[in-house]
Amino acid sequence: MKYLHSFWAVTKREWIELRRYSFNSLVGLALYIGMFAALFSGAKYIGQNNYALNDSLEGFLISYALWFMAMAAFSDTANSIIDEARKGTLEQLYMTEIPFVWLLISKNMISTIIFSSLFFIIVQFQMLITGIQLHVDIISIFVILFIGLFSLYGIGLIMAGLGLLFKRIQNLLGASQFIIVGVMIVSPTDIPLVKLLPFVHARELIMSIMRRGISMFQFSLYDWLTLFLNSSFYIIVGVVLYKLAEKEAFKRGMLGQY
Amino acid sequence: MKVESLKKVYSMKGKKEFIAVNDVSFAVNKGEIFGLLGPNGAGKTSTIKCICGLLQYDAGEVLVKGHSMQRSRTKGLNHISAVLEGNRNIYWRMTVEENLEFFAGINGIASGKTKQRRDYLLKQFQLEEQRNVVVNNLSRGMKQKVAIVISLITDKSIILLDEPTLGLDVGMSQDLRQLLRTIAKEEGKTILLSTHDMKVVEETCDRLVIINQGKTVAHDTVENLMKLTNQHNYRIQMKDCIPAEIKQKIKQITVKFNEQKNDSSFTYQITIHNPNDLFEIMNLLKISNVELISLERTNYDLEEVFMNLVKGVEKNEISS
Ligand SMILES: Nc1ncnc2c1ncn2[C@@H]1O[C@H](COP(=O)(O)OP(=O)(O)OP(=O)(O)O)[C@@H](O)[C@H]1O
Ligand SMILES: [Mg+2]
Repeated sequence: MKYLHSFWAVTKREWIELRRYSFNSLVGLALYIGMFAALFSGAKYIGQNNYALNDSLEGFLISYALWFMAMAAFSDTANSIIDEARKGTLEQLYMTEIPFVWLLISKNMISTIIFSSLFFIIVQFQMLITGIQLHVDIISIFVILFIGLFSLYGIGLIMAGLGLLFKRIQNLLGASQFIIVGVMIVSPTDIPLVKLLPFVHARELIMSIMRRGISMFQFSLYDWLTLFLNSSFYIIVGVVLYKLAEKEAFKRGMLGQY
Repeated sequence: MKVESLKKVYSMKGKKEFIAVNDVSFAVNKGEIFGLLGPNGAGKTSTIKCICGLLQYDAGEVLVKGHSMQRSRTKGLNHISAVLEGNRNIYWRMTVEENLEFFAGINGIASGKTKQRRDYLLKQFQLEEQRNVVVNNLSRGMKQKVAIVISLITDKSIILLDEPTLGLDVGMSQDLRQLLRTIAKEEGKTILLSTHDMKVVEETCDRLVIINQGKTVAHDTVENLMKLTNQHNYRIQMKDCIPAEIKQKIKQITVKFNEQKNDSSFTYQITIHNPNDLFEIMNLLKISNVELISLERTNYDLEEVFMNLVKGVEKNEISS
């Protein structure tokens, strides 16, 4: 019950922040859509509407929208922990009997809902701009995102741990955007090992939902298992490494230094 | 709550170690306001962070209701809340009420259940009008009040306050001290506060420990300490030097006597046990026929209290 109350408190906080300070995110959203429109008209100009290009455009559209969301998901944890350490609220979060990791997971779950909504909005705009029609099976996509994003939150936790100890990791976060681009582009059919990367299988599943109209009920047990294990692995590694960093921070007294 | 031989060592870059808290012990009784006094860098914040489980200590023990803050931190945290340096425990982008609801919530308390307590505390701290104001728009003193209200919302029995009056103007500081006393009395809270301001301790605390460079310098009731430190100090400024024989006589009366030559005058710093000794000193000065420029009482400020206590420690060490 206590866990539920704390989850609810975090939800409310996120909602208040989103409502009161949504302008920044709206600007970001507009920028992304604008950039997509520019890229698309460029591609169309070069490709002159041939079929093969149109086919790969579908993939591009989805990858682009997923990239936007993955970036947000991945830097979300790290940014918020560093931000709270700087402001001093992190120490307060550590002073409750509710484990801090629970507060983080609560926040991640709420973020998933927000990010998924953003994803759907972006896709909607993109379909409008390109005239490409995709299968937006909201429930299936959301379920896959809900599980799949936890792999990225795991990576985010590792970053957050580094951030606790080394403070200036903004550059590292910036550089890792390109890694995310990689994750969105590399195809597991060429190199099977790529499937072990975070979120890659989730991306594949979302691609099949959106391009081929497959519903989540048609996925094989193997698909579900891969998705689930991939996310579990990364979130567990993330939590373990974060805990290690946290232990060091407790020793050095770095939870509240800015 | 008990702190026993607490020691905190920060390992610095290049393998140098820095002992921030060294063998500090004290116990805080239920319902009292306890002061942790010390100059900048004394180790106050480090001590408080060890107590509230935010800092791992290297030796000694912190026991909160019998729970070690190292080994059973979560159990200890059931009884503790804290406001750390500079009211940084608040979300500045949320309103006062939203903050209160949030912090109650993450402690596992439903927001409906704290309604009454919120009303009570906001009234007590005169923050009713600010209830729906975003914290960022509040003055520093108000933010500090909000920070303290947040620490009280969960109704835990021990409250730790790190420099609660830092940066507040005289009126606000007075206000806050009054409030702390009220809270301790009415709600039976145990309060541990750190400060470098002797006045805060004098006015609010029952007992205190003074630390300096990580070490305990004194540990006593405030009353006793004031007696010890509030000897009578005077600064006498004379136009010229007092003749040697009279100086000798004055020295016999005073506890401490100090002469200092200035450009066009002499300053004498004296300490006496009994203010009545002043009559005799003034008599002697009159005989000396040197013109008196000024006489003033110099009260001890914290620095002097420290000097005295540190000196006292040294003397004891030499004589024993
Ligand atoms: N995280 C840290 N790493 C290394 N040294 C530290 C750390 N925190 C504090 N110190 C050092 O330990 C000493 C004690 O610091 P502390 O903050 O406990 O003192 P304080 O009594 O609270 O001082 P102030 O009045 O300035 O707040 C200081 O010399 C400080 O430089
Ligand atoms: Mg301090």
